[in-house]
Amino acid sequence: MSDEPSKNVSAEEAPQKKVLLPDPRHLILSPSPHIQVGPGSGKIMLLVILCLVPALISSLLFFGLQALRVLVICTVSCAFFEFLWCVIAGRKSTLHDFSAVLTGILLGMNVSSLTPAWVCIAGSFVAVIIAKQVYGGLGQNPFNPAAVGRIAMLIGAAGPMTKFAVPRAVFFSPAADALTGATPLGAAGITAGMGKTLEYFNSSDFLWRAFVGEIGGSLGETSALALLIGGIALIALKVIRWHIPVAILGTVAIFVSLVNYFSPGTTPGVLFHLLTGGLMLGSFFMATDMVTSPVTVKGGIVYGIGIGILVCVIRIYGSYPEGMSFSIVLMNALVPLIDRFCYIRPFGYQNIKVNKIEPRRGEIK
Amino acid sequence: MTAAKIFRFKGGFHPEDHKKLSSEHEVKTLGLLPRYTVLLRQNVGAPPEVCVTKGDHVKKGSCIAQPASFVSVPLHSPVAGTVGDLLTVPGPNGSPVEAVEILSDGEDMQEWDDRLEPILDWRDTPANVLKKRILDAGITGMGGAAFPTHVKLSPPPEKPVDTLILNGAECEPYLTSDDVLMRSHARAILTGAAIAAKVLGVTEIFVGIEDNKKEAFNAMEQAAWGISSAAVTVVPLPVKYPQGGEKQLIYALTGRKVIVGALPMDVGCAVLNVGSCYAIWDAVLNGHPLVERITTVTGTPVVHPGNYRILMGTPLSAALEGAGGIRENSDVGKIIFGGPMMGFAQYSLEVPVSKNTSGILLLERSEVAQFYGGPCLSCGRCVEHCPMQLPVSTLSKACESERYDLAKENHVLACLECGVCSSVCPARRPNVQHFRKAKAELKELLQKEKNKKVGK
Ligand code: SF4
Ligand code: SF4
Repeated sequence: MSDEPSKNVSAEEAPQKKVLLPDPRHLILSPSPHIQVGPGSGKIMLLVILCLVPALISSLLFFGLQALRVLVICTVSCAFFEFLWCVIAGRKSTLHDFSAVLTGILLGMNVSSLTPAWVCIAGSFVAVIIAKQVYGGLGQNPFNPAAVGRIAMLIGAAGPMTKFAVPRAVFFSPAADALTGATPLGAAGITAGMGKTLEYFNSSDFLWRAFVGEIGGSLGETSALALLIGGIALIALKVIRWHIPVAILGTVAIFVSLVNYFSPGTTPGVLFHLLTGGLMLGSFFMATDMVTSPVTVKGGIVYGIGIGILVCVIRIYGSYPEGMSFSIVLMNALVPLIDRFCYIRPFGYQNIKVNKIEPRRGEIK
Repeated sequence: MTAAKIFRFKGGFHPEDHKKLSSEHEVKTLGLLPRYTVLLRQNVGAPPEVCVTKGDHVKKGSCIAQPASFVSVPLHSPVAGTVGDLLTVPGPNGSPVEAVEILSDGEDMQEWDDRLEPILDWRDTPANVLKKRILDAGITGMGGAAFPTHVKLSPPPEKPVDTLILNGAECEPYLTSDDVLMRSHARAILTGAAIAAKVLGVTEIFVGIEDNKKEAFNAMEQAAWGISSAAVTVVPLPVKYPQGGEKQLIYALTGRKVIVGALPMDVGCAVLNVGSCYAIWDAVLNGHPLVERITTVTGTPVVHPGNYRILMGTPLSAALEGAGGIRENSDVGKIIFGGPMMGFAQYSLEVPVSKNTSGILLLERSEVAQFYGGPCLSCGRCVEHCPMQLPVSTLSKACESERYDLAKENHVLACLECGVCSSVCPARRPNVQHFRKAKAELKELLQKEKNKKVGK
């Protein structure tokens, strides 16, 4: 190659060695950078959905076709409302970013399999239209759409929303369920309220059933095992950072241990709290929603700790047995503030006075 | 040699580097062409003034343009031949630029007829003579911006420089020209560095090499013994882009932070690319002006990717032909001068190679990044990876809505335009483009304000 003759010569003397050159007319002209890494927005949403699959399967196993009905209604109506909004607003359809589908699935997983269809549809409307699109669509919404949808359903339709099916335990030995029609969290609250012993909720038998998901509750909340698999996959795929879920779960563990230490008998143990209710689903799949969580790692930890404390306070002292959605939405509201105070200092700014009240995310639209 | 402490900068990332494509092959020399178009403006600062006229005979190494000011370097003819027209050719940065045409007379390209007097006893030569030689040889930075080397070696007396840093990080994916140069010419590079150290009067030389270039590291470490009166330390650096950024490199090796708007000399450092050091060696000991460089021609579509010795003024088409052209079934989407993170996309095959063309990279259409600017998800990936630790998502939104005041408050002027924040963005937002625009707008605004003050 080193003595490759000039181009005139090569064309005349060695036509068999024809050298191909690119056609400059077809080149893309755009500024640097010229390469990109990692999945795009749509693919990230798809990955999250993929990581929800174990939990979806477990919900179908435990709650059967009723679960499928709720999930399908929620997903389809979320997608429909998203599409409808785009049509009305005269925008290009944003269905392909899969965020509405994800919202639908999360919403479905957040409710009981006995939820009536109209409640599901109303919840989807609130989640997609009120919690997301009126703020300007994906990326502009301050609150987690699925959490807002669930809260709306819980408050607006308190009766139907608090009926929970007994898991059918298709897979496991059909043990007689002591908690017919209520979630363990609710039952534990009542038991503690009556001053009875909470031993049952700390027994290894019960905890094991809570771990695999053989307890009453919302569709996607019951199987901690399936959620953990999905959550760890999310972290391994680098879709989410580990800081937020670890901060939430860690805070809950510490808070519950402290309560148990100082006033035993108020609430069941740490494992009970970690394995029941919407904690796992919320920590891995909802609190980590990129749009509504802080930008920096530092901020994420503060936000996670906040959610952890709020969940415990609501669960142990509040009037609702479960408070994951409330905690997430409350902390969502604080995200612009967290973002402002967990400001990272630009490289080389040690000696320069940094303007403390810089406008941060949320103030710019 | 004790292991030096390394300071890891925050942020940065390591994309698939594709260095194997080109690093495994021997350096080849491109054949003589009938015609070269030597760009006039190859350096940062003033372009030199042409000092030959059409029809003049020049030899290889003859000066064809003289520096126009202090921040400017002379140009030399890459081959023996006749001066042709003063042309306007497509430039590497996208706009048409002036170039001198040299028509080769077909003489053997290795013959140096017109060279400077070699300075063999450089250790006993006064610094200003050496500095003059570096200027006369037309040496500039050979990595990113082509900043004239003699200017870097002339810090003002109030900013004493005590450390010379050799940049062998080569953190851009695909590029391996510095790697092969260090592997094959470690002694020459370090001699060049020693000469620069003498000119600067520094006592400490650091060579920063990314950890993925073991062979180059060993070669440099072996060659470092007793080469200079200054202490030479070869340091393996963490593999992450932009490790070779001036500020990041200085921080990694010395722990000093160059504040925004300041220069390396403000923290007592001078940074030279290993290619420039090689050129210094060549200019001082052999008397060769800078007319040739090693350039990586690479990318999946290229038939023979590798490193090539290319004369300045060689058009892109000839360089590609030298590398065997492209594969038959390839669909080239982009041709880039430089690396994929900071290089420039080309629209013509006539663009000549110049002093800072570290690589010619061809990307398949499917490999080219497309930035369509989806809504920001506030995912924080950009903030996490920004080597300057800027609040990128805030900036991005501010610039998108043309709130340049907000952008300024959030330090957009500190942006290196390194491209990391665009590359990692899942919403494919063209963040760097936004920031370039903001910086240009802010500069204009500043200029206007200045003019107003002068007007009053
Ligand atoms: S990486 Fe892109 S989507 Fe994520 S915060 Fe930065 S600009 Fe927004
Ligand atoms: S281009 Fe600027 S803002 Fe983006 S990562 Fe690099 S330094 Fe940070």
